[in-house]
Amino acid sequence: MTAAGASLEAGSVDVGGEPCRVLAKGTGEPVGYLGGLKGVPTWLPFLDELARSRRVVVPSLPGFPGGAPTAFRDLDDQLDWIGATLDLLEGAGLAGCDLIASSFSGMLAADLAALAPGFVRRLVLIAPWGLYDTSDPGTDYFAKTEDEQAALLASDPARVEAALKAPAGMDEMDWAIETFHRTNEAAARVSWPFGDRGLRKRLHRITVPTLVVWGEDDRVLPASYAKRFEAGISGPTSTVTMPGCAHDCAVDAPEQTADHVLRFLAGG
Amino acid sequence: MRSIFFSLMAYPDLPEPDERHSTWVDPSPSWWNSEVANRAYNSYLNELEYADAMGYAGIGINEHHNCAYVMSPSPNIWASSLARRTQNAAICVLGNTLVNYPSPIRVAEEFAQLDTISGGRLIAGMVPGTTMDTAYSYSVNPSTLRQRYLEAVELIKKAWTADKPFEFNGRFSQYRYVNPWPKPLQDPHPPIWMPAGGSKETWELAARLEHVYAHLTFGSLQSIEKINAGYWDMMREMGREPNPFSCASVRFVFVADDMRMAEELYAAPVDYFIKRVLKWNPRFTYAPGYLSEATVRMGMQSAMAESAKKAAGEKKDDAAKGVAHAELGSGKEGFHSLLEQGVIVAGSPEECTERLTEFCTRFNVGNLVLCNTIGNMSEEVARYNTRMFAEKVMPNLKGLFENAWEHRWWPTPQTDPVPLQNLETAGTEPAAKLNPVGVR
Repeated sequence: MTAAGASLEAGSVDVGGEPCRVLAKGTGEPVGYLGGLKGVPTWLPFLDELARSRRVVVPSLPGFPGGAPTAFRDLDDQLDWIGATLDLLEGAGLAGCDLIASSFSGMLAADLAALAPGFVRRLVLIAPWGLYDTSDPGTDYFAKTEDEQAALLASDPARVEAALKAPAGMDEMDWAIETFHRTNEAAARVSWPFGDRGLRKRLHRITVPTLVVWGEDDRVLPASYAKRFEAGISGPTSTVTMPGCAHDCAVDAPEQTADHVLRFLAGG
Repeated sequence: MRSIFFSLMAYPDLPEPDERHSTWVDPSPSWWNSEVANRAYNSYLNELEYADAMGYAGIGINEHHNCAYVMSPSPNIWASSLARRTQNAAICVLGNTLVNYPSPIRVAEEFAQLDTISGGRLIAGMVPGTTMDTAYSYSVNPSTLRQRYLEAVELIKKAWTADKPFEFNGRFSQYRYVNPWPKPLQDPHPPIWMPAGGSKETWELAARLEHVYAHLTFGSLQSIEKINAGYWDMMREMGREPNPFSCASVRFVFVADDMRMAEELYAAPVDYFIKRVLKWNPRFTYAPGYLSEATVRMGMQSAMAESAKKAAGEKKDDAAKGVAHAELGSGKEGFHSLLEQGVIVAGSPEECTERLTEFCTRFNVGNLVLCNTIGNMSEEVARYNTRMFAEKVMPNLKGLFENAWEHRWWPTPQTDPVPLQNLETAGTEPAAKLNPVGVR
């Protein structure tokens, strides 16, 4: 079947007393996707690619587009965020399923896989945060302007624009708050100043098969970090470096990234 | 009207700026010269002591970090020295950046200690803090700043007033025993001022907690008007009386015999301050979550209104952007441009009196925080300006608001300051005359 034929379903899960949107498309074995620094403001071509053969379930983390717009300010530390992420994924029916997580949410997904054995079946991390080595620094993403941040996400400006485009009829100011101010605050709340919450001490506890995908031209966090993840994770781990891609490979190269991910999830 | 001599303590020997010149968060460490800093620090302390001797009601310092524009990461160190070296002025610490201290208890202790040493002359400033100072220099999570600040204020006030040790189970800190020694000398505690910028939440907070709202950013009269109106609107909305003593505002004031002499003496240090000191990277100004969504919306709306005006061909409101980004000429031209915008007040004692009376009356400000020293001004010129202000301007402002309103946020010191020991005669009394014990 093709994704074009499948329809987009929208539901929600309560996290900390507020709803978090859950989008889903396709049929088959479910796979969860947690978006990167901007969350998932609009449905992505990458997700359509996955939905050709899988049921893709996309829950919004608190504070990200579609997710608990004020309750995220009750989450103070890594443990609070991990608890909320567990609530969210469980509520979305993703306990025990394959999970794809991008950028800052990769940090949360890696911690989940480390701390809750059995909760994640196969893990895909796309340019995950969570480790930081000052001798191999990333950029100060939070001190960037809105335009600079957008330019850091992917190499292809047209694809970035499409991924961040306001839906028809959406108030411009609401959209700017949802995709820039609030999203940045939520990402900063869990990862200030550069997303090192001690994951290196727990990475060895990840025993599930893991795929690390990194854009070769990533200027947020260099692709060299892929090796650190691969070396730290105990489960069978492989790395794919994507030429021509920046921080979010799923935006820059939806087909190729989906292809790598689907083959990995199929156990191939 | 209370006049406070306020020292910013800028680094006085910054290089000619290039494109990357930044004095906050990331100023170049190579600019620091310890001999220059040693002289500057001592000279700034001299000026504060001199202001006390000249009769200013208060002397003030503040706290910034990674900052060549205010080299004062620890204002309590200055306050400690001033508590011993001055006798009369209120010591205005404007303020301590509460969230930067590993424990709010530390602030409760240090302020109580200062209040006790100074005989109850402390104004305890509690500042929420800029993102440059907190998020970028001290790595405090910007999304939690306001909540941390509120919790710290609550804990400090309780620590100062509780009559027995207590437990505290806060969101950001937990204690089995809160019981700081010493307790403040002022009863129930030193007046609390809240130095802050102009956001809705700040006005609401200052009004609700009944702290003095100390607006200490530099800007044109136009920008100050907006901020002051916001504060007084909020006070009215919350049913608080418009007591001018609940508001403090900063002014650069340069007094001379006449305008020509003011220009001769002050244009160069003002130019240095604007061109070399007041320059930092705006990307550090708003870390994520620092501004509430309501304030972000307010900003977006006024930006939209601004671009609509621009589209309609109206003149752009440059002055409202504040001095840091205003386009100014250099030297005397810049000096006059700042005068016109009301960023600085300068001229003869009569001119300064008139401008300041108008300012305080128009904006209902009962506490003037005066920058009489600025940039790389020499100590002798700073002293001249201080004397001119104290002798020829301050007396004209003194009576303002005093009969109409009660100042409920000013220290109530002991009547007699503790005299400093006479080092010539100390230790010379014969042993037979000495009491073995005493309560000092």
